[in-house]
Amino acid sequence: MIDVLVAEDDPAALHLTLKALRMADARIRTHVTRNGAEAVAFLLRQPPYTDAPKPALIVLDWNLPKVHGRAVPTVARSIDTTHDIPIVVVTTSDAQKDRDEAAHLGVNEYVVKAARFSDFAESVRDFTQRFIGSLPDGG
Amino acid sequence: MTVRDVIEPRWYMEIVESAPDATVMIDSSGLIVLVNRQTETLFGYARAELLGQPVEILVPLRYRGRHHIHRDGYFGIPNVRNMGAGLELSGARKDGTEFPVEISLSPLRTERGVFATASIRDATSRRAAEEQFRNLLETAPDAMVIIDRDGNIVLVNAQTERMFGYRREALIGKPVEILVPERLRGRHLGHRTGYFTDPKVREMGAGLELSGRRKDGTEFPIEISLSPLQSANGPLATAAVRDISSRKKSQEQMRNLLETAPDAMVIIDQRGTITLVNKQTERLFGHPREALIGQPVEILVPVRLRSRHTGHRVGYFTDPKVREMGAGLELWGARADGTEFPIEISLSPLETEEGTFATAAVRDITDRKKAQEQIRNLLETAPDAMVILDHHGNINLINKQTERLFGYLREELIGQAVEVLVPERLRSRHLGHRSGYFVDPKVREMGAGLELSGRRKDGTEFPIEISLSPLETEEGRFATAAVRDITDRKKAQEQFKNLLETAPDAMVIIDRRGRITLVNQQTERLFGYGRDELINRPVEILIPQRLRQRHEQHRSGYFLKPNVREMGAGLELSGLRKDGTEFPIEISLSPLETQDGQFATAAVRDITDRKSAQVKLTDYARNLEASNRELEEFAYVASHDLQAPLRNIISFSELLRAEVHGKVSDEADQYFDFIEESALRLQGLIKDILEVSRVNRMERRFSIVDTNACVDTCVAQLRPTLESSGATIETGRLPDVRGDALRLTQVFQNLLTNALKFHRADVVPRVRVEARRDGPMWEFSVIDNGIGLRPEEFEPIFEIFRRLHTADEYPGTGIGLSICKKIVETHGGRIWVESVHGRGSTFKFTVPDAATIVTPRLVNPQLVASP
Repeated sequence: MIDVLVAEDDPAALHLTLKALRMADARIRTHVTRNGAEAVAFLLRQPPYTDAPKPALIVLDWNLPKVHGRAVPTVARSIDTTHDIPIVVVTTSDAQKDRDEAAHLGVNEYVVKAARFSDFAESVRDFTQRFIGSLPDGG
Repeated sequence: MTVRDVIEPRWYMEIVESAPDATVMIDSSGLIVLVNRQTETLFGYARAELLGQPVEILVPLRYRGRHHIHRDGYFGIPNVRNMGAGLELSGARKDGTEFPVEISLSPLRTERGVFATASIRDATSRRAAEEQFRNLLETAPDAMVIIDRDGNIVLVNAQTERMFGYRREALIGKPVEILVPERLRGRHLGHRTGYFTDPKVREMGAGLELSGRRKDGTEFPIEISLSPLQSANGPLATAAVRDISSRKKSQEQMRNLLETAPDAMVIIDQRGTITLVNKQTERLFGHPREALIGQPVEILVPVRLRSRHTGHRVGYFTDPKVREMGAGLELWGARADGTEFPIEISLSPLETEEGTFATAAVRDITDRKKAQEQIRNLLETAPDAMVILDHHGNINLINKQTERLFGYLREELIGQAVEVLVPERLRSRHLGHRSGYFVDPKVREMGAGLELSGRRKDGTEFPIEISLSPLETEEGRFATAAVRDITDRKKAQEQFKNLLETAPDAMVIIDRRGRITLVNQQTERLFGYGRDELINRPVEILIPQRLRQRHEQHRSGYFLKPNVREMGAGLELSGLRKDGTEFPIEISLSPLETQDGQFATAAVRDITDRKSAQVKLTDYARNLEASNRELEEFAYVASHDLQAPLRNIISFSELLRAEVHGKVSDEADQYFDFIEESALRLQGLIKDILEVSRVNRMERRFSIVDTNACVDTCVAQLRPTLESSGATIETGRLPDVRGDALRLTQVFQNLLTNALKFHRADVVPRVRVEARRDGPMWEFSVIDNGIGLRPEEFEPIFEIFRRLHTADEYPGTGIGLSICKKIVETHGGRIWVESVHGRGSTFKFTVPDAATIVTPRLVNPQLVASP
């Protein structure tokens, strides 16, 4: 199993993201957090995430309530155990200032969510393959 | 033997007795045979004591022994010998005293042999006179040489010995030519002989250049005066000889001096004869020196002026004094070839032993005349009346404008004291100013102070302004005055006062000390004071107490560096009404230079109303800023929060359709399309709104943009469309402009896309892009051959979301042109369309050239300034 941490507050959007991830790679096990605070707690294995695994990828909505998505790369990149986890921001905002900020904080990829699901699923498959690899042959 | 024995008849005796001299007759043996009464008287003997005695009884003892030799000699060759013929003789009286005598001898032949008659004269008094004459000679300052008619020197004085180096004895009896150089002796002989045929007084310096010869053979220049002298021994000539070596030398020096003079120097004597000229004279007049010396000076004067010149010359010698160059007269010289030229002359008298001479320094002023002519021409071109004065204050030159302004003819002014142009009452003061100016001459510009008046020939006065500048020339210092009639300006000042009254603002004019000198009615109304309550009061009366001290400082500072300060340029000021109430004012200041000094004009405006308007405006701006920030916030929120649900709608419609496709109904399948299309359109609209707000907030980071590159980018993006439709985009060479490359590309993108999109059904789109210079801007044209527009559509198409066609006919949200409009206006340009419906459209817009600095138009500054 490959652990992927998903941070998304909108249930509908979360549904689409999880569906796209499942479609992209069947080995993926998703862990869902609903805001920046939860995601950071997951990474730091704080309660209730004391048994959380180290995710192979973080799929992060940028405009998260309570604690903003920017907290995730800020924390992840500053801790030895998490600094190497690929982070992909998936958001509806194509504002340049968001792109710039994300890049500055060490986010690996910035994906604007396509309106059509088919397009969105395609882009998820693309970055999943790049960050966690293809299905091993015969595996 | 008695005398009767010797001489008969008796009358001879009577003659002898009546003779004035003593007469003594002796025989050949020397015995006295006859004496007369005069002999008795002269020698003190009685006749009887002398008759029969040897004549030697009458000769002093010391000569007696040798006398008989003379006596015997005489009887050997007896002849008449006149008195004074040389010998110095003495007689001896009976008492033994001696006395000088003169003796003439004559023989008397008788039957009894030869007798000698001696007439003896007492020469005591004559000797004394001769002694006096000799002494006189010695006291004479000149060397005196007396010669007899044979040219032999009979007398010289000590000066002669000294001058010629001979001792007196070596000269007496010698021909005078011993004192004349050999080469001149022959000529001198002629002169001398001539002189004795017509002897008269000839004074020194009357002509001849003479030379003397010393014993040592050296020569020296002399001057001689001659006078005849009658003597007992015949006519003599006295020559007074003067050594003129030193005078000659000083003359030589003077001549040399003359040669070094820069001017032609001509020296004339009282008769007007040229006695000396220098080389410059030869050169200037073209006459050789020899042709001038001895000629009347009028040879150098043009024929037409000669008679007048003679008059001047004679006049000069009656009162000779120094006259400087350029003292008035226009003079002309005449060259040997008859040509004339303008000259200037300075005269000075020269007193010499030979009388009064006049030295004239003559200067050719042809060049200067020419230069003056040029100055004169220059003066004529000046707009002002120009008057040039010499340092005496006399008018030297004027121009036509001066004639016109003052009503005089040129001839009436030249040479006059400049005060003729000044009103009587100001003349003495002007004299002082003028003298002061020449002491410290510098450029004084117009309007530098004095209130001046000019006086016309008809006595009328008029206000003038004068600028002065010194003019240094070789003739000395001059002053150029430019005179301007300021009657009109004075009138304008009057009008200025009237104008003040018509000004909308309260106008307050103050002097340097801050005293109010002029106000208008508006001032009275605004501050509640009457005019009389303000004039001559400090301007601070109009300012609240708490601000007065600061105001005084500002005021002093202003006069130190007066400049125009416009309204609203800084200070918030308050005015104080007579009733003590304050009100906000705005002031503009401007310096006012007048002949009375420096003033400041303050235009005062009550800004009570504007103040409140300003407060309102500030509030408005603050609100606008806030709402702008909100708009920004909204735009961001819209980009995320509006889009997210739409995306969900589209995505889940898509997923749901996959689930139910073919299971419900055909109609249901179509519903999914409607949902998704609507949601997608809504998403497009949101994107466009965001785009518009982004352009509005666009920061003006302008640089030089190559519009060729912009268009190339667009053409590349449109290539698929071009290839599928066969459409063409043609561009000429496009210019560099100043702007935002990305945004300008967006404009071209929109216009080109439109041009291709709105084509006629059966016509292949052909688009041209052109640019032409229009002042500081470039005007771009995007020309298509599409469907065109109706005139009533020209304006609305640039409005936001204005669509002329349904989405079915031509897809799009209708945002493109309004974005173009925003972008172009942000660049300071404008956009418009020219079109013929059914034939095509030309979209035109302007953007500034690369070298232009742009100010945006029609863009809310608050929006532009936001981050």
